[in-house]
Amino acid sequence: MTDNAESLGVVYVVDDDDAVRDSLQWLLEASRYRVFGFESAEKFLAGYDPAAIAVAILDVRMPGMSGLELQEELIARKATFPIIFITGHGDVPMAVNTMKKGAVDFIEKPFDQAALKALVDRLLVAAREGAAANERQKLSEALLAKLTPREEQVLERIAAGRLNKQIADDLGISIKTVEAHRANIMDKVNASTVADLMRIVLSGGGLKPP
Amino acid sequence: MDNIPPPAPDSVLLAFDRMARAKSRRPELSRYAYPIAIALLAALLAGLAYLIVNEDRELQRDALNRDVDTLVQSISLRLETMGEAATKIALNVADADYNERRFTSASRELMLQKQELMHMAFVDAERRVRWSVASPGPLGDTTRPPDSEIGGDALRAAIAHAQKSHSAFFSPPYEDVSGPAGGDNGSPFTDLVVPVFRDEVYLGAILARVSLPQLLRATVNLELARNYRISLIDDAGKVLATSTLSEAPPDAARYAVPIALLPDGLAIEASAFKQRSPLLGNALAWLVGGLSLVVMATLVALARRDVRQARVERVLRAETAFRRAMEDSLATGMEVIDREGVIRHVNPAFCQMTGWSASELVGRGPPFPYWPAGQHAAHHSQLAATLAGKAAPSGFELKVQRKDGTLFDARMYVSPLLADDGEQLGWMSAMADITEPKRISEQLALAHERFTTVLESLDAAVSVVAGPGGAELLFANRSYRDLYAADAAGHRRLQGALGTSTAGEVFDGETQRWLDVRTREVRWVDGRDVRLQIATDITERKATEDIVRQQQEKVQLTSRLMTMGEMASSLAHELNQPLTAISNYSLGTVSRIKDGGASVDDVLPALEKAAGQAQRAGNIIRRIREFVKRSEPRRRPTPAARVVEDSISFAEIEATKRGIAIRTQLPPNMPPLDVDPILIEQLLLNLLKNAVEAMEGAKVRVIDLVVRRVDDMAEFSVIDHGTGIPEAQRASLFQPFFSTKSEGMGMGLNICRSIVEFHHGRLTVEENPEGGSIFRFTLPLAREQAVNDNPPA
Repeated sequence: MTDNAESLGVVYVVDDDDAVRDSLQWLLEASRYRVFGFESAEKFLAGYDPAAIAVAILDVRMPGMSGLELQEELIARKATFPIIFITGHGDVPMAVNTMKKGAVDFIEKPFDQAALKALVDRLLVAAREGAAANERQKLSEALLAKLTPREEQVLERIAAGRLNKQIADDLGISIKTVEAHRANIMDKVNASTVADLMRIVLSGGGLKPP
Repeated sequence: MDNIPPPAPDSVLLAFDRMARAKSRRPELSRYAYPIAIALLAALLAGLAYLIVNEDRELQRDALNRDVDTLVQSISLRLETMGEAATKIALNVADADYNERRFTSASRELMLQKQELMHMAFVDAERRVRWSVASPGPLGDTTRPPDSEIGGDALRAAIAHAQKSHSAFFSPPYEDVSGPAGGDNGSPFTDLVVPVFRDEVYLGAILARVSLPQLLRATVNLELARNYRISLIDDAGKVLATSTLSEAPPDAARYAVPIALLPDGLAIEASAFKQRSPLLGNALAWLVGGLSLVVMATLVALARRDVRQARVERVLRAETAFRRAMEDSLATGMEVIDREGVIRHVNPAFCQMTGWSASELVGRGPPFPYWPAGQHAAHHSQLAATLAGKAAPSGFELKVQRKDGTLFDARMYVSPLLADDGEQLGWMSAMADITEPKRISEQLALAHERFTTVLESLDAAVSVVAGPGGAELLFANRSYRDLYAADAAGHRRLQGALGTSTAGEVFDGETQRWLDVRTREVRWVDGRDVRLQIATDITERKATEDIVRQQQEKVQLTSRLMTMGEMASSLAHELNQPLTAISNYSLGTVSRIKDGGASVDDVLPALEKAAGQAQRAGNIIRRIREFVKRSEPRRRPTPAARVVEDSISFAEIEATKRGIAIRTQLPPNMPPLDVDPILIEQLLLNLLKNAVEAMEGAKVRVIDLVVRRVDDMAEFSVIDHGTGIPEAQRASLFQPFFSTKSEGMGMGLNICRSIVEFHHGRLTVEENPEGGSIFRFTLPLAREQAVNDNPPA
């Protein structure tokens, strides 16, 4: 097997059954993923890399912390890996529950190799996109943080589509002042167009409420 | 002697006494009238006496005054006449031819008349006695010696005065004891001096000596002397002459009147002696006094009688009030009838009980108003018996009708009413309302009956023993008596088997029965401590328990079938693990080989691991086989009733929880089945559970389990009234993995059919015309010669 400089992505496997875990690792590595196996949720929590672009494959039923509980914990830690649950039978209600919490998909044993690969690939892409979105959000938040309260007020109204005149009336200031604020905002946030500005606002998760 | 405390004061009687005292207080008038009357009378008497005394005193005083006045008048008159006579003589003396003889005779004559004159004398101008004549009276030999000179200043002054005044004049009194010795010689004296003038020439004077005491004696009559002490007193109050030497009492009435004619303020003083008691002498006073005393005595007697009366009245009142209070406060009705049967008296309680007032009852003869209409005859005969003295002393019961028409039960006790002297006046009846007691005793009887019924019908043997070692059997119910007769021996035996504990399971060798025995010490109705024992026959239960235990062991084995769903599920899971691993290893190896460059060393470990996983799977399969082998069916003759009962007892738990009843129909003389009982029970249980679950929300909440004989098979039908099974599903019902339940694995009916077919029977399902489904299966009956045919494993 040729070693690529960059593997296709990281896959975490958490399953208490040694044979299943080891064999799954064997299978995934054949598709050139970097696989890390953990025999329990606790060991996984101790050993995962939060910064990695990764997918986690979790067995639902495990002694100690179950797969579902692990999902909860990851949400709590804001570790937003896409998760694939290995289900047994009769897990439909459980499935609905996990979907609500943002998990992504399920797979049954024994595994269909092609389906598994497709799923992992899809989820890695999602993971990457997620990471990127996070980055953008952090950046926007940092930029928006530079604004003064008054500038925030103005920006809020710009985002709401108000005209300068209306903004001036709303805030009881002159149009000239509004225009000055606008210029400042654009500057601070490093936007050249209103569209840029809006993008930054949106990716920053919206403005803080007044 | 024991320390018996003294009886407390009779508070009841005291209370009545107090009330009576208040009531029979003598009227104010009476209380005060007598003393007032007596006092008035006494006062009257005293007043009267006082008045009488006073008036008498007044009278006496008047009398005194009058007497004294009269006396003085008579003395004065006497002296006057004396003076006139003397003057006459004096005139005569003035005649020239007057001589001593004439003087003497004239004087004697005068002195005879006036015994108080002691003597008379004629003295000349030189106060020389010329003639002297003694009184012929008893004291009259006092004379003045002739030619003696008149001595005494007083006399001389008197003569001088007479001479001067030309008139007769009495001298001041003087003493002269030179007379007849001893006693009363007439002293003191006073001389009447009459001057003799002849033609204005003073010749001398005639002296007539007057004895004052004699004067008094002459003038004071017996009566006066008796009543008064008459004294002649001078100016200074010195007594010159007195009628009696006896003193008058110091507080005697006195009265003095001067005798004008006599000089020196001579006066007659009279002192009254102790008066005759005006009262004692007064007949009227006696009469009045006597009468008054009689009246007073009468009043006093009356007053005392009044007091006595009041006391008697008070006691009587208290007594009466007490008795009346007793009678009125009686809760028992009292009635007095006379010898003819007429009601003479009823007490308030009687009126209250019967609703009739006393006026409506007293004086009535039979039939009495409280005799219920329609029972007069019975009451009449009862009354007749009573009047004849034949009423039972323990009383008799009767129904009484109140005025408002309501009836109540009463008990009457009759006793003769005897007067003080023993004469029988009538009959005294006491009536008590026994409605309540009667009702209570009826209730009690009923309660006792209920209690007895309960005890007697108990299956448990209840016995009570008392005495040392439980010798005496106080109570035993029928169950006990059936077992041990009316003997405490059984109780004792069981107690002995219990030993020191109070409850336990005991095997009674004598009766060969298992008993659940519980004992307890209780206090019996007569206060004794007795032992109560309850022994319940649990022989059957014990036998059943044994069976149940055996069953449970079997059930445990069969429970693996029951939880087959879960077992299968876990089996599936268990098998899936090695299967997945094998799959992964294989696919991984294939991928690597396809991608090229996978050496033997690369893939060998994976393949070896895969083989290992296959072995793991094989072990699981082996376990299943072993398990199945253990539960291989064993057929033997089994009563249908048994399998029905056992499977129902398990299914009932679930059924009753949902309010569903399971009805069974089993022919009485059903021959035994040739089956493996455990499998059949499992089969029935499965069908019953299905039926219960199918009847969720059904209206008819009954499942019927019907068994009947069809040739040499037994046909079982499980009939539910649920929703039924649609035609479409009926076909695939028995297929494995077909389930209408969300949790269902779909093995139940498949297994059921297998069981039935193993027994060479048939399992079918059809629609229940009343709604629901009927699951029917057949099982073989055991042949006459019951042989256990166990198919080889």
